Amino acid sequence: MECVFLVVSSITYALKAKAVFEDYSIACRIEKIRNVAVLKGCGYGIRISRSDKSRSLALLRREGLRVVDIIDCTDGES
Amino acid sequence: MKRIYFDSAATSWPKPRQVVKAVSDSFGEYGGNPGRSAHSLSMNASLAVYGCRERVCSFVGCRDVENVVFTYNATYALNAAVKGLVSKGDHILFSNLEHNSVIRPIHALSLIPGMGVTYGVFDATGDDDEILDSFSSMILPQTRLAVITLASNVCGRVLPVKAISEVCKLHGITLIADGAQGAGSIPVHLERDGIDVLCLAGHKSLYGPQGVGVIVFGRGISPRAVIEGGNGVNSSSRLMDDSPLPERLEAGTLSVPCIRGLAAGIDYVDSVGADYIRERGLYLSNILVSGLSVIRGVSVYGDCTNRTPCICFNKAGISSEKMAQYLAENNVCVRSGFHCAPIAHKALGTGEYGAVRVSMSFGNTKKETDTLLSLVSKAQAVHSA
Repeated sequence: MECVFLVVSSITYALKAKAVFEDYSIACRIEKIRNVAVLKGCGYGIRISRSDKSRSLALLRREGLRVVDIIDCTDGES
Repeated sequence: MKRIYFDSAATSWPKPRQVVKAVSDSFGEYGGNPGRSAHSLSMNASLAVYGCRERVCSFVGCRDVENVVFTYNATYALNAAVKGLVSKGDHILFSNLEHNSVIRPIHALSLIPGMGVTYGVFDATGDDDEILDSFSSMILPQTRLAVITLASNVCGRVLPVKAISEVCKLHGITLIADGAQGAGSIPVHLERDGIDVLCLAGHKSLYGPQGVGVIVFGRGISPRAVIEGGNGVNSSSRLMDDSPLPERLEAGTLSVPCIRGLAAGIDYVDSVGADYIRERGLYLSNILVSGLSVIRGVSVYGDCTNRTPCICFNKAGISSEKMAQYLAENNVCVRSGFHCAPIAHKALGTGEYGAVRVSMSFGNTKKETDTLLSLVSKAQAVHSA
C-alpha cells in the first residue's frame, strides 16, 4: 500500500497528531523515523495512507501541528 | 492507637488505592522509556505520559497538551519557570507568603554578576484589597515576572490570583502561580484565573506519589531550558532550546510510575469533586480554628476565612517543636518550625520560633480533629507536669 510518513518534532506531537487523526477516523501508526542521518536526529513520525495525505495535512495545519518532513513510502518503508 | 495524619501540606497520606495501583502497575507493560523507542513497552510508556498531559490539561483548563511539562517536584518546576523566563535587568515581584522554592531561586538570580535582576516582596497578609494595593504599589517599569502562591503552605491563605493577574496583564507582567498547595484544594483554571504559568506538586493535594511535579504554560509562553541532556528530540543539535515544548524542559528519563500515579490522583480529585473537597476542608478547618481559639494560650495565625485546610498555631509556653513531638507521641502527625517559608512566618509574627502546622486532606474526619483539639488543650498540663 502506498503511504506517507509525516515527520513531527517529538513523540508528544506524534501522539497529538494521532489523536487528531483518530477523531476523524484516519488510520495511522506512530513509528520512529528510520533515516536519522537525513533528519539530523531521532524522532517520531506518523504513517498514513497516501489517499489521506491532503486531509491529514489540512487537519494538522488547523491544529497548529508543524510537520517537519513528508516522506512518500510504501508499507514497510519510511 | 490509630495514626492521625495532619501533615498533608508536606505530602498527602495515605494515597488513594487507585494511585498505588497505577504506580505499581507501571513496572509491567509501561516499563519502557517514554519517547525513546518504538517498541511496545516504550510506546505504552509514551501513551501513559501523554495521557497524563491530557489529564492535567483538562484539570487546569490548558488548551495545549504540549504545554504540560513534567518535572521532579514543584520546586524544580518553579526553578525552571523562573529561570527559563527571566531576562537581564528584570524586576520580579513575589509575596511575603512564598516558599523557599520561590525565594531562593529569585535571590540566586539577583546575585549573578551582570544579570541585573532585582526583586520586591509585597505584603499578602491583609485582605484581598490590601494585597492588591500592596502588589500594585511595588510594580516598577522593569517588573516582568510575578510569582505568587495560590495558597500559603504555612497558614493556608488563598491569594486573589485573578485580581492580581488582571493587574499583571495591564503591565505586561508574566504571572507564575505556585500551585503546590492550592491545586486540588481549591479549583484552579489557567485561563479563567489569568495564570500564565502554573507550577504543581503531584504528591500533595493531587494525591499522586512523590517524585513528580508539573509546569503548565499558557499560550505564547516560551521558556528557555535550564537543564540540558537527552530528550529524544533533535539529537544532533547541541542546543536544548532547539527542542519544542514539552521535551525542551524534560531532559533525562521521565518517571512513568510517578506520572501514572499523578494521573490516578487527579482522577481521584475529580471523582470526589474539587468543590466538595474545598467545602469539606473548610468544614474541618473551621471546627479546628474554632476549637483552638477557645483553648487558653493558643494563637492561630493568618486569615481564617479564605483558606485551604492548613492551620498554623502556637500555645503559649510550648515551642512548636515540643508541641509537635508531644502530638507525635500521641500518634498525631503535624509539622513544626518554619515550613521552608521563613518570610511567611516573619509576616505572620512567628518569625522567631515558627509554629505548629496542621494540614488536612480529604480523608481526615471530625473525630480526628476533636482528638487533636483535646490533645492541644491538655498539652500545657502534660508539659508542666
